[in-house]
Amino acid sequence: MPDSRTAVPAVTTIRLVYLARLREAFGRSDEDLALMASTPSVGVVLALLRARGGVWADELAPGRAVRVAVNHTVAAPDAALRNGDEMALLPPVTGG
Amino acid sequence: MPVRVQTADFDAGHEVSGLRGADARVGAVATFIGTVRDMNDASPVSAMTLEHYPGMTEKALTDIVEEARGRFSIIEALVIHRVGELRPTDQIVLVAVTSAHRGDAFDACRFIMDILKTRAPVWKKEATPAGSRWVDARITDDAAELRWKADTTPGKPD
Repeated sequence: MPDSRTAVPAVTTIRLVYLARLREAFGRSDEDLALMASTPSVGVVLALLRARGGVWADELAPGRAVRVAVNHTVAAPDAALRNGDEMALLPPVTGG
Repeated sequence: MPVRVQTADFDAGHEVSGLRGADARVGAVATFIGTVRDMNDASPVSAMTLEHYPGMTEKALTDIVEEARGRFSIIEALVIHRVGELRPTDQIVLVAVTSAHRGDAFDACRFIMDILKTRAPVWKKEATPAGSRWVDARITDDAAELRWKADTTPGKPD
């Protein structure tokens, strides 16, 4: 058993889901992302994805209408992420 | 289950019969059916594909129905949203509401539809002569939702 006092970094693994236009733009429907930060947030993950550049930076640029859902509920950038959470990126919806 | 997401078509008459059942409290039934047009944004549309986020769609629709129950005096409500490939004249969505009097049925039906347009994670991709394109969200849909936000008492938007 690792001693919790030793400097073993906490890893939070989340599942990212890309829908509709974003799925096509990114060329994938989902991926797992391991985060070293102990208390990662939606905003932290968005910044990581933007840092990939190219289409990621374009589609997720500040001001683009992308909504985020964590575990099927719309979440704000400061929402905390826990191990096993599903974070989905949603373009503006057009159902009905 | 008051909420269904399915590829299969639906029969509104059959669904309304099921919703009313033998409930003699029901004095009003309002339904809305959304269908596929052959024209959008000045382009002919030959087909469309509806994609959704499984799990979240059902949750969002269930939440919207619950919100309608809190705002209006309704007895039952049903939402069916189709996904997959649809063609002009196909049915896309059904909202059916029962209540004692017509006002609540009309208002709740419109409320559910207006909120669904901005909150249900569903996306349309149209096939047009110039190729396929994702449909843009409409500003008028946001305006329709905002009217309900401003309106704290039951009733239809202006």
